Amino acid sequence: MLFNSYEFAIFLPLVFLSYWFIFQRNLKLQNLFILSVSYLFYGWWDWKFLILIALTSICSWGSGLLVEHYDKEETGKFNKRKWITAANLILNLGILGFFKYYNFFVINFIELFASMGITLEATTLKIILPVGISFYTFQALSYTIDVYRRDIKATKDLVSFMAYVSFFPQLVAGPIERATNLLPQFYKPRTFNYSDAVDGGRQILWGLFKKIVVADNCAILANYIFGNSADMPGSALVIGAICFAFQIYGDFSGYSDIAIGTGRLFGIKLMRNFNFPYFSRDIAEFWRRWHISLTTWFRDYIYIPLGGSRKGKWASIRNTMIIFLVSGLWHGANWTFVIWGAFHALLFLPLLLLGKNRKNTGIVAQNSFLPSFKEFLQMGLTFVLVLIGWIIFRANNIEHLWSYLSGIFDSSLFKSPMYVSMINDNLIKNVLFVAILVLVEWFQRKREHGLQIMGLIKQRWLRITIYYVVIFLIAMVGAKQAQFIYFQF
Amino acid sequence: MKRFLKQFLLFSILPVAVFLITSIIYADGFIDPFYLRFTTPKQQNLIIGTSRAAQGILPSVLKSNLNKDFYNYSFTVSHSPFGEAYYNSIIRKLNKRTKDGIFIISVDPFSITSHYDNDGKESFVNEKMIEKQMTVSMNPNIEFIIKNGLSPWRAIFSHHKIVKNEITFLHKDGWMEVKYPWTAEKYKTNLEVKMKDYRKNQMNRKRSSHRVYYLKKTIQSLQKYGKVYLVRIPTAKEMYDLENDLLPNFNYRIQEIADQYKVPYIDCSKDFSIYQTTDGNHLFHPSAKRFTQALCDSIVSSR
Repeated sequence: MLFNSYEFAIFLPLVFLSYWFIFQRNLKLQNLFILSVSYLFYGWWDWKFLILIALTSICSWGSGLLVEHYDKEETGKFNKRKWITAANLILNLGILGFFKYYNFFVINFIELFASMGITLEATTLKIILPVGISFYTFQALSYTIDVYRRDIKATKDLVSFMAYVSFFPQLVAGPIERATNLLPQFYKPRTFNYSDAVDGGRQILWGLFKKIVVADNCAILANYIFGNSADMPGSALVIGAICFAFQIYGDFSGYSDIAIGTGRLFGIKLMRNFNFPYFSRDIAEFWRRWHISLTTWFRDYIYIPLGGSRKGKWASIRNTMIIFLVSGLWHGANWTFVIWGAFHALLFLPLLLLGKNRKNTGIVAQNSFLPSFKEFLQMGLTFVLVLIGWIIFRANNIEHLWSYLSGIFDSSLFKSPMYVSMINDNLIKNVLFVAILVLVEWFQRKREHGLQIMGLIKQRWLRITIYYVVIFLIAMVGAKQAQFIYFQF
Repeated sequence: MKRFLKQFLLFSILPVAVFLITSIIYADGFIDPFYLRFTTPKQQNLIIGTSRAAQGILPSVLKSNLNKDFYNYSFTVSHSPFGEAYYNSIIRKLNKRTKDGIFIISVDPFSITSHYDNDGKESFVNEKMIEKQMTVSMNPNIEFIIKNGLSPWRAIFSHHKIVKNEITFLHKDGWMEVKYPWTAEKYKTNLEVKMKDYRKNQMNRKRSSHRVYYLKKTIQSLQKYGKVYLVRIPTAKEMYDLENDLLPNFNYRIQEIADQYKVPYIDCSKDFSIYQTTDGNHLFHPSAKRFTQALCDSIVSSR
């Protein structure tokens, strides 16, 4: 079920009313209800993959209990806690690896050996990637590791745990929640909070605007230009890259806004996933603002355990490379994602080595309306670097990437792209939608989301008018329903 | 909670009301080639077929001659060749209280043939729209608008700007009028394009026993509610020849079916010198009027 579908428009109010009016009095029933509707939500796509999510949940829950049980019986050299945790990690990563990377590794091994003159016979499988597998697997792993580290107590409440792994608003595309934040929220009764629910509604509306108006309209041009890049002038290729930059941002941050807003309707607070990343002044700041839940996951569960930046320069370089490469590979089984990760690592490392990676931690233009000239240049340069990264990310393969990049840097960069009818028909409206997004987010950069206007705009009639304008734009100029990009990851 | 629900209703009721009211008042035959067909009530007398029938048979002419309200429930060769999807849709559109209805079923070689993939699997992919459209007599047809990503509704607000250049208009009785500024030169170009397209894309079709089965089932089902007439609408000579290449014994097969179910088969395929088409395939609207008039005469004489 997609957030931008009519099924969800019926599903959400029904679940909301049942949750507060029928199940509120009994916490266990309410959690069981969340679990059931979350499985319905996921099973709407393909019920067969419910088995996988149930398996991941039950094994992680069981391993947590065993790890805690052996906590008191720790004797001898054989560390049962470690082995149980490792077994659960291997199982979950094994499932993820099989569904996501099996064919990728088989093909690359065959090609590697073929380049050495050795012919290997292996067959690839027709594997369907279960939606959101990377998200819920990482969420389950966070619990396993946290229990092992004794950061959280193992839960005996299977229903709460399964609801934590499968909570429908963030199940298929995040934010990737931490057990320490989300799981305890299933232990205690939730109370309805009017202002939180209303602001959740606003956040959903803003998320829908970002997805349906900005991302899906930008997708039309981005898909066309990337799909026909060989026939496009350099100027069109730049437009394609910019459109993709706003497509992926609108799509993914829009999803996160809808997820967080939906969570708030149910009295559950999910972590922030985006913090206006295109206003970043350097790459380090960009990574503190983009897909925050994944970045912090890698930081806490890979970077810091490896030693982080405490073990000298070379260890810092190694650890940085590792998390960026893993982050790239997390997005999919394609060398372009690995190169994208490496590209960002190379941009990040100079800042880390010069000790400037935490230079820009505050909000840009904190005390003024407009950025200074320096800040403006910094944001522009960071955006250009991110844009190059998005070309790497979006390219179908390495040859496509190379031809796209070399297509930009030739004389056709200065040729008008308006002779391409698709660009001529769509460019102005895309510029307009992106301009609305950027302006609203600039105004709102100190807040949680674009429509958090309570307190900012005192007049009620003006706030209501703004909501209706957003609804009007979604209805009138939203592009045709498209799947969220991050579902494939 | 009450306050929240009130606000939620406030923000949902107004947009929904605007959506419903504008759809009822402003949706016309310009906004979409199919939408109005799913908004009219269930019907007693139907015209069934592909775009050839949609443009070539005028319910208004039938009404003035046969004193019955007709409805043209034909779509295109992609959407409504004979098959399960179209059959179910016809049955949904039919008023089950009908006793002496008239049902004109347009037949041509393309409506009983199919494309097949490399594995020999018959393709029904283009009939999905008709198959999934469960409501066929609801105004406004929310299902159709939603399933088409609101585009028919959005067209209400945008089509007035382009209406002057718009040449297709779906009448309330289901007739698809193509307001075509006919010239011999344009016709020649259109004919060439159409024939090229059909030679390239339609001549790899093969006779489909599935489609023949559903043609028979359609006849059989509609016979319970009145009289059925099979009609072959005239085309240009070039198209007629093409059809003969595709299914040389088409007329013989249809006559067999007509005899089996004891229904008249009015074959006008050789009348290409009498009527003018816009592109070799569809009757030009003055010719469509004349053809429908002639069809009325044939129906009256066959009674």
